[in-house]
Amino acid sequence: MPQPGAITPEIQDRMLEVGVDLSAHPQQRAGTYVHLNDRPLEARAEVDGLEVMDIKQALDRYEWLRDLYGTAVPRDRDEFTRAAEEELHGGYFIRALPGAQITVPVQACLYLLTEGMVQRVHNVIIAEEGSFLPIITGCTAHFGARRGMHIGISEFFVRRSATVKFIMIHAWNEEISVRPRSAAIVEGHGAFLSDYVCLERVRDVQMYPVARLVGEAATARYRSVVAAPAESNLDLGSGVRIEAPGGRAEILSRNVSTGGKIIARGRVEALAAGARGHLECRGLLMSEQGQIVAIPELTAAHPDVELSHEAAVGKIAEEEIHYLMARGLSRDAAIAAIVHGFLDLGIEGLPPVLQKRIDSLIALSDTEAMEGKQ
Amino acid sequence: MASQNPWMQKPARGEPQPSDDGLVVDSATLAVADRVVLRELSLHVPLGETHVIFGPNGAGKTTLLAGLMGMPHVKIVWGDIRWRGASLLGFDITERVRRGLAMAFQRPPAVSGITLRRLTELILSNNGNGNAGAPPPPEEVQQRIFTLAERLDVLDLLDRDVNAGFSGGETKRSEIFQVALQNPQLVLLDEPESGVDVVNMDRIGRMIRSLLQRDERPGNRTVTGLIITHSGYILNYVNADCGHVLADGRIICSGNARDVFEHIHEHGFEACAQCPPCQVAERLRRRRES
Ligand SMILES: Nc1ncnc2c1ncn2[C@@H]1O[C@H](COP(=O)(O)OP(=O)(O)O)[C@@H](O)[C@H]1O
Ligand SMILES: [Mg+2]
Repeated sequence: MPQPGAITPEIQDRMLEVGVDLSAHPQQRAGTYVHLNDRPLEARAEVDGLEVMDIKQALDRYEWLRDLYGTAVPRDRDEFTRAAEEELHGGYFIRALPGAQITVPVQACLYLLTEGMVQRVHNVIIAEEGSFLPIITGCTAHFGARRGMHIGISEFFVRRSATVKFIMIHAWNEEISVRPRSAAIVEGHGAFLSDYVCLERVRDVQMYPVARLVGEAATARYRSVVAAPAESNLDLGSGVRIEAPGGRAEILSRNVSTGGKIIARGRVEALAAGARGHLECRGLLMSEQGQIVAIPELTAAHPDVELSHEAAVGKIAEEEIHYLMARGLSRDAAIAAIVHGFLDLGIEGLPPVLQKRIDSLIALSDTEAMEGKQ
Repeated sequence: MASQNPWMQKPARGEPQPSDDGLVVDSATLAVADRVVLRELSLHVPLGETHVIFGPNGAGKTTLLAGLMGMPHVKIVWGDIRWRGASLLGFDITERVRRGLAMAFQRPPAVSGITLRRLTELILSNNGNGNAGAPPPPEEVQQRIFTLAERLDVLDLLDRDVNAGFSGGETKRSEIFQVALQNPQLVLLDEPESGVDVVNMDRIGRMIRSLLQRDERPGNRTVTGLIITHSGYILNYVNADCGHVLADGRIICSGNARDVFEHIHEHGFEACAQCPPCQVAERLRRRRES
């Protein structure tokens, strides 16, 4: 078992699977943050206009941060937020200064190395006025660490006319429980764009990140691509609360079960004039053991709003498989093409290894058995 | 009465070679959803010939092609289907494609998440019909897609999901486009011209004509075709070797394609029912009995 404190080649390989490439040239990432088990290892900005540091250090340095800290996700929100604050290990502080246009993503990795570890982190992300801040966060566990828990609090502050483009990739192990607690506050003309990918087996993930659009003409978009192999339990949702006029919300999710359970929630609350929101949830059930529950919620509290949702859960249509077979694809190749297409939400910047993950996922399905039952 | 029907006077050909006699549907009974749709149907399309099938709506024309292609919803409950001397019954759809079959669907399903370009790349990565041999290099793949797409006016469809919101005419062009890339030996076309305007009819007609090698001398043709047509427009481009009428789950008439079509045009399908059994079916029956 590797000792905490050093990033071994094995750890680097695992990080690659969640989009964090420490071997890449520094010019390919704007900043780096690595957290191993209960301690931060690296925190560094590579470009001007960007700050990357451990949250404890940031709280020491900036008095104003102490007032901001805990305002998006209240510290006593639930047992997990309380547990994180009682014994905080660290977390990242990433800030784009006013007007800074960060062109390549900041890469951050929260790595659970040791079996039985309960990781507690608190991240704060600030995009100051007019800035553009892309971040990719990989959260993963070492292959040897079967059991464990990750509690991660994330607070996003998107100032006027700023944009945060955030990708989070999870790759855990079979006995790990994951409790992210995340919220964003978006000011006028700001945009919070969040993508989430989780394709590997995990014991359970429960999260419901929420964005509040507090300034006029702000935008929030949540997209998620998730798969639940047998014995995975995913209870995932995203919510947007449009509190100011002209806000836009979009929530899209693609969910595949090859035996596990997925609850796909989504909520748009429109409280101000001109608010627009769309929620789309699609599920593909590829095993008789699996289950997908779609729970979309729309709330309109102003007459001049437009909200819609679309939800569809089912298995792959045999007619589509046969059509592709008539073009010369084998049954397996046809299913693979359909599932790849289903999961492709057009999220840019994902590591190529995820495509292979999707293939191995499909290998776990039992659509043959399902067809036999027709 | 029968002798007065000129379309029944199909010129006699040499008896087909049992080892390689094209497509033979031998007394096949096809059922869909536990209901018999085609009863003891026999049909013979010799190698290199193109035949057309006419028939009223609901006669079972699409079911016949689906059965030939191996679509699992069509069950062959009796009889046999042979292609080039070997029964197809044990083969799934992919294996039939590998043996040279390709079909243009009458109403293909939309496949979300897969663009027409992606699908054609997958077709070409299989060398068209899944036969062994290295796939062409990527530049050649894109070049072949572009050339053919331009010819069939589907360039604008390439980056859309297959069949998603395609108009009737777009669907037909996209189907012929895909089939042409499959390099097929037995081409099955299910109403390739319905819903197609005049300009596009010309594109589709010419493509089918070249796909089926109709400009070659009969002895040089190696591609076999079976076309279902409602309007008969395709006959302006393809001088089919034979026309059949499918009604009441059987082939009720066979003969010169144009004559059969004109007869239907004038007298309707009802008149066909008065005709005696067709010669092709008769020939097969004789061979079985001998
Ligand atoms: N998937 C299906 N399920 C049930 N019945 C079907 C199905 N496909 C075709 N049929 C029935 O089989 C008969 C023949 O249909 P089809 O082959 O589509 O006719 P055609 O192509 O000649 O218009 C019709 O009565 C039709 O309703
Ligand atoms: Mg039909």
